[in-house]
Amino acid sequence: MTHARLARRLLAAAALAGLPPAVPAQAPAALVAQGMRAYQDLEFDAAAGLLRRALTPPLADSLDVRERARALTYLGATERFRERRDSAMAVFRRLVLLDPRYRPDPLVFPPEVTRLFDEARLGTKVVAIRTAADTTIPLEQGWLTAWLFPSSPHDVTVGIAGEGGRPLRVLYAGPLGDSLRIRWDGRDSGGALVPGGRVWLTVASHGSRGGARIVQLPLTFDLALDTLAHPAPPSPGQLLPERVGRRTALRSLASGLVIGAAALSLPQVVAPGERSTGARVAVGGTLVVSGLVGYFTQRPGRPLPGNIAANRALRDAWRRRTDSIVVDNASRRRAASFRIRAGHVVVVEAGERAP
Amino acid sequence: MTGALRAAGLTLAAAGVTASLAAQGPAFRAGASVVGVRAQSEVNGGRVGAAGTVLGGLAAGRLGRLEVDGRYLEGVLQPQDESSARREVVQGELLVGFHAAPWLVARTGVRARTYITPAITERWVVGLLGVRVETPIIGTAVRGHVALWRGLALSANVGSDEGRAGRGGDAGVTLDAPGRPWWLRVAYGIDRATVEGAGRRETVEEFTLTVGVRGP
Repeated sequence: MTHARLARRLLAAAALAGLPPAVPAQAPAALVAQGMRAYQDLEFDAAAGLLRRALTPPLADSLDVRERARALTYLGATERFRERRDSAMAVFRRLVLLDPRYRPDPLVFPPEVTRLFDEARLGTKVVAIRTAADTTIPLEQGWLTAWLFPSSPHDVTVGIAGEGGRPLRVLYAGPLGDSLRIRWDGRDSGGALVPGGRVWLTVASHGSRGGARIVQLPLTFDLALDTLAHPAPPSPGQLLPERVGRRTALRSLASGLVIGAAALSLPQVVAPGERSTGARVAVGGTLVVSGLVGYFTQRPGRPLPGNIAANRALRDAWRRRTDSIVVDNASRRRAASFRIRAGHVVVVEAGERAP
Repeated sequence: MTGALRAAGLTLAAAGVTASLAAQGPAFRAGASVVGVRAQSEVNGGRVGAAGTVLGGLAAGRLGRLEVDGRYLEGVLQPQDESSARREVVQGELLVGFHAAPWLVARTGVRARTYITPAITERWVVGLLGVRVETPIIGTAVRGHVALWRGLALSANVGSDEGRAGRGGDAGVTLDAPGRPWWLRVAYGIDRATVEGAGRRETVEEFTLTVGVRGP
């Protein structure tokens, strides 16, 4: 046994014993490298210990996806050669979930390893989502594009969900073979723009046994759009009656008579005993005659042209304001854009049902 | 005048000032008037009278529930008996109103009237508080109104301050030309001011014909 092999074994024993690593900051990558060398030296127990240690948090957090995928591949192959098939399958399933597009290099790993990986891959339905991390898209004719890559062909449902998982829109439902391009214009199923905030691009992979595994990509959605609200239409209280009511004639007569009588009696109220002029009679008479004219000319149901014109002017003014705002909002929309920032993918297992 | 009436006037003014000014868009009305005036004066039981036609103008504005109404007239009244003298009359009035309801306006303000004769100049100033009822008679084009007011304070340079009182009212009919900015009003008004300490009682009747413009 060489010194290097002895050191690896001691390190693997320490790793398995849970002792703190006696290596500096680059330890996870170094552990992976040592595990790979142990695998190549056919020292599978040592390799398994080193690789598992490297893949255990918090050390694993400092490995990028590529390094983790490589470590998992070697660990799966190691477990395969340690005759721990179930353990190897579990490692390969973890690898598929980590990167559904990953394939072990057949020049490095023997067919029994790649076959086992393929078996795990075919039984693990999951989808990788690729999209721009930060993109700004015009509101009109703009799309967020995402590419979906499945671990193996299967049926998927792709959608947009709001906070709390509330479904906003289904983008695609059907089989997913090699890859699929998904486009989203920032709108929900009703065609309304999704308000700013966080939404989720969800891909539900449907297994053969009816279960589902959901991949969720958080999207921070900033909508740079400031449209104006449409004015409220004229309320019934603002509109004048367009036809003479049943009581209008009587009201006119009563008004004319009462105010006319008031005009005639003003001198008695204000200056009793004063001999007044005939002016009060002229004004009072005019009021009484007006009331009579109102009574006889305002039959129920008769159109009131003045009120109709006034209401039309009110409605026209409202329409003009609305049209102006529609034009203004269209202009604002043309100039508007939304910015989408993608977060880290989360995989949610939605328990499979028994066959 | 009683303190209660003064308090009512102040309350009305405060309510008018604090009223919602945005409830209705602004509107104005202005016009020129020809006024037939008959003034009856009682001096220690004796009566003298003068009458004439004078010219005047008015302007009114409304914003929300608040309205301001100003009126001015000036002219000469000829004596109606041999013992009276010719007098010039100048009258100004400024009222503030609060629309408590579409048909009811509470108003307060001041009216000043001056008689100028070759011998003396008399000024009668009254602070008033009253209500005005206005209602449509034919559609919205023809409306009638009646108003009554009572003097809250009266000032007159007639030699005494005792027993001062004043009240008045007017009624009329207004025609707004449909679809046009013109309007026409015929109104009758009467008011009486008394200063018992000086043995004076002034009664003035007005028959007013006004033509004007309105907007918007």
